Amino acid sequence: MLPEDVVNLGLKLGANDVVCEIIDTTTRQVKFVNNVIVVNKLWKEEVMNIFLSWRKRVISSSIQSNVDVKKFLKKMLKAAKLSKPKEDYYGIAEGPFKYRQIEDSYDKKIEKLNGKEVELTREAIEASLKNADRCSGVLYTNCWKTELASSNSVKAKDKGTSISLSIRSFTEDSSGHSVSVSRKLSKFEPRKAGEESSRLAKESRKPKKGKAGRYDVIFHPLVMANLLDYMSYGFSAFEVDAGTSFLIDKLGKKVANKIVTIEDDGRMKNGFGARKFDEEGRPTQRTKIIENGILKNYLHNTSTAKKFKVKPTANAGIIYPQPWNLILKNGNSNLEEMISEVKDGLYVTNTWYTRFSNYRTGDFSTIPRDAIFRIKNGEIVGAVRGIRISDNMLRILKNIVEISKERKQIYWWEVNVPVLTGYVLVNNVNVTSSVK
Amino acid sequence: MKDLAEFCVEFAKKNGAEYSEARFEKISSETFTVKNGTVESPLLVENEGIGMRIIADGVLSFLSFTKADKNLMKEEIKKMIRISKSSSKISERSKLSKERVVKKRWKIREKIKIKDVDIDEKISLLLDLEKNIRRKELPSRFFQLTATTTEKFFINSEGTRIHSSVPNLMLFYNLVSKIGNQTENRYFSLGSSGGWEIIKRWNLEKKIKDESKMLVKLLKGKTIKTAKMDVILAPELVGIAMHESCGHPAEADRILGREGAQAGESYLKPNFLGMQIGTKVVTVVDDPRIKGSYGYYEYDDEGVKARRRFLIKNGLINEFLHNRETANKFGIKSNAAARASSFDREPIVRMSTTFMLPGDFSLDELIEDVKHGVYIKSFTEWNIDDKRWNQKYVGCEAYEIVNGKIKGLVRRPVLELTTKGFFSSVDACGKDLDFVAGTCGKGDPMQGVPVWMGGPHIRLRNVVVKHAT
Repeated sequence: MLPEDVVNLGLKLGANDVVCEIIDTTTRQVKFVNNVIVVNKLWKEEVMNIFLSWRKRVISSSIQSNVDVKKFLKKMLKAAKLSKPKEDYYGIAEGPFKYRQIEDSYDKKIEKLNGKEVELTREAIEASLKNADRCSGVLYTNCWKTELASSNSVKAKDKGTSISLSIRSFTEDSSGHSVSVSRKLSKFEPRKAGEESSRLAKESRKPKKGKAGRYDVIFHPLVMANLLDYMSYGFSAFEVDAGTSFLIDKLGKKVANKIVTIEDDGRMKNGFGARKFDEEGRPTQRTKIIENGILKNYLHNTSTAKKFKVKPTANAGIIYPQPWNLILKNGNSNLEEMISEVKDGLYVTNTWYTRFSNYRTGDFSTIPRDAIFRIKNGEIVGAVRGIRISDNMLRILKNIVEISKERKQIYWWEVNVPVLTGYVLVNNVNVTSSVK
Repeated sequence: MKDLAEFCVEFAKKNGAEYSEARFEKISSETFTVKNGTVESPLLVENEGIGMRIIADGVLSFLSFTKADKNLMKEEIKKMIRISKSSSKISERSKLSKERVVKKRWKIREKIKIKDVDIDEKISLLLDLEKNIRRKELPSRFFQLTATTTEKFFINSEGTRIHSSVPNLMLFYNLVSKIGNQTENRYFSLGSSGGWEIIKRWNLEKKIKDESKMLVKLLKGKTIKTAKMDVILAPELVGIAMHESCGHPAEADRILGREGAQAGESYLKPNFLGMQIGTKVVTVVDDPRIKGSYGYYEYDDEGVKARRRFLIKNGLINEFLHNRETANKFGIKSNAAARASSFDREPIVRMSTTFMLPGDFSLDELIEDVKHGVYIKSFTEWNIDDKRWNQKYVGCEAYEIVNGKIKGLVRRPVLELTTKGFFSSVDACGKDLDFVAGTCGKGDPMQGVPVWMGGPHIRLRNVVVKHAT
């Protein structure tokens, strides 16, 4: 069944608005552990997402099943009728729209890899073993096509490919992590990722127990991407409306240092999350969230935009607006310059387990892992372990003093929203550690 | 599509697999959300598909299908066996422990069937909960209820065939209190397997009313000065600590490095069984067969019969969690810890209900000889490093204890200590036992599986409690 058939059927059954998207994906994974492949995986999946409204009552569904669509639509309508009106529902995007191709979003070569993923994995492992004792990680390829139709004259199609590698290299007492993420095979660099992860592991050998205190900290792109991903709930108008965003009531106000500009770009060239249209079928765009330190926009769908009296930003989620590719605008610095500027600080190359004690204020902590370097008087003087960053998202944004020119696209197990970011120097970061 | 599970297993075998298995799953769920009094879009999910594992030439592979397309399955199974064979030189030789062949049907009964409860009743439940606590000092009140039923059919080439059906419910809420520029945040999940009768058991109206009052009161709570003191932990916090610092490090796949690039490895090594980690009062188990538990199962996702695992016994590391793959590497039988979050995920080593066994103290007895300390009843932020050694728990509802008496609320006391520091500080365990629900994340791609975690009230002697920064 085509999406437009589902839409027409929904309308015939009495729905007011209907959106249907059918996504077909083929995903492959090669997982390797301690230098050998432990499992090859394949997913062949089709999912149909349907949204409909009836007299301001709304309902969504996700179907991966051979169900009778007519029966399911009837079930949805029955549920909608039993539900309550969503007073702040203001409809879906009104088409028709024209969609422009996104540069570097599809590569036939990825679709035709046909098992060559194993060779690419071997390249990464070999590169890692130049400096490290062992390495583990995953290599993914993904090919998808999607079709969307809505009752507001929207008909849209898109397709894409991606390839990514996440690799962690180990020595006896240290580790390093790196990723390579691309929509095109020619821009995929498994060897480089293997080398970086093993170099970080090698350089951070013999770590000493880190001490609590306030430090100037350089964040590797893996770290900044993690923080931007975790703070991105605060960019969604849904969370602002719910009262759980740390950016509530801050539009037009200073929320970051003036060198900080954060954007979402659904059309980013080679962007891992780039797609032609959002879940209402509205053509995606570039949206400034924070510009020169000032909060400019939240991310919106049609309904939240209407409620907030602004233009939609093409970030539907029909219920929950979401980012596609987060971008931290580059600065002019580089890693070496940053290190030379730090008198008493740390260079943190990866982090995980970021959690909030208060979403409304943005109080959080995160645990640096892999290589952590101690910097004194502009030089790396050794490696440390066992520390935690316990701080606040707004404070981090305000204390960013340098951003590198070089940037990297990050997406892996701990970063779910693709992020393009450079190295970042943050002053006065609160570092804690276990006492007993 | 269920019939195709049998076909896939046979077809893989005919095409050269040493072992094959398939899991057909049908997952139906409904999610209802109320945000500050507004009903958000209910979400209906109908998923079904087959996940299968094959071992060919010693190489393990996993395939997932959502289309009932026999030709597609044949083609992809053949292709995967080819890939396995061509990659065998740089692949691990995968072998499974020898286990009994099982033919079984099991299900969790619903006294009140979730599907028989009207949608408007489910929505009204959330609307009433929200309405009951509505006040200006609580600007954010978010509630979400998810009801899921998972029907499974597991079959492997050794002859095991298991049918199961598990209904469960989860309720999540997120509250923010605010007066002036002071705010506090409480988020919490309740989860259980069973039917709609669970809702009554949860006593939601009272629980959420009490918590909302506490959260507003907490805004005027005092901040504790960083110092060494005794700490009483309630089951909610004991549970998360058992899950994070005992259950996760005891996962044998993690110990062997299989999660190294994702959720990390473990401070435990294969030869650490028998090592002292805590005081003699510390015994921690993981048990999939606790009635009503959120991660309940009778047979795991490799068809092995579930049993209680003693992870720490009287302070000593006693047992790891195994699936058939890790058990084979350790030269033992699996203890049935293989779980997959859905048909589209491979079964890996997971927890179910992880908890500290109770002792014989009452809460009053635990508190009465604490000169100065804190009683932490619930928590907000927590995390732990990827070897499961350095952990942090931030208290939400917490009280100061002075001369054996509970005093006023304190704001966000912080415990930041090592696993050994935690377990070696426990000097007494309560005789109570309670559990909380969670969704445990592990695997790549991520697999969130329902779990319970818990324990009794416990007392930690002489640990550093920090104030939040």
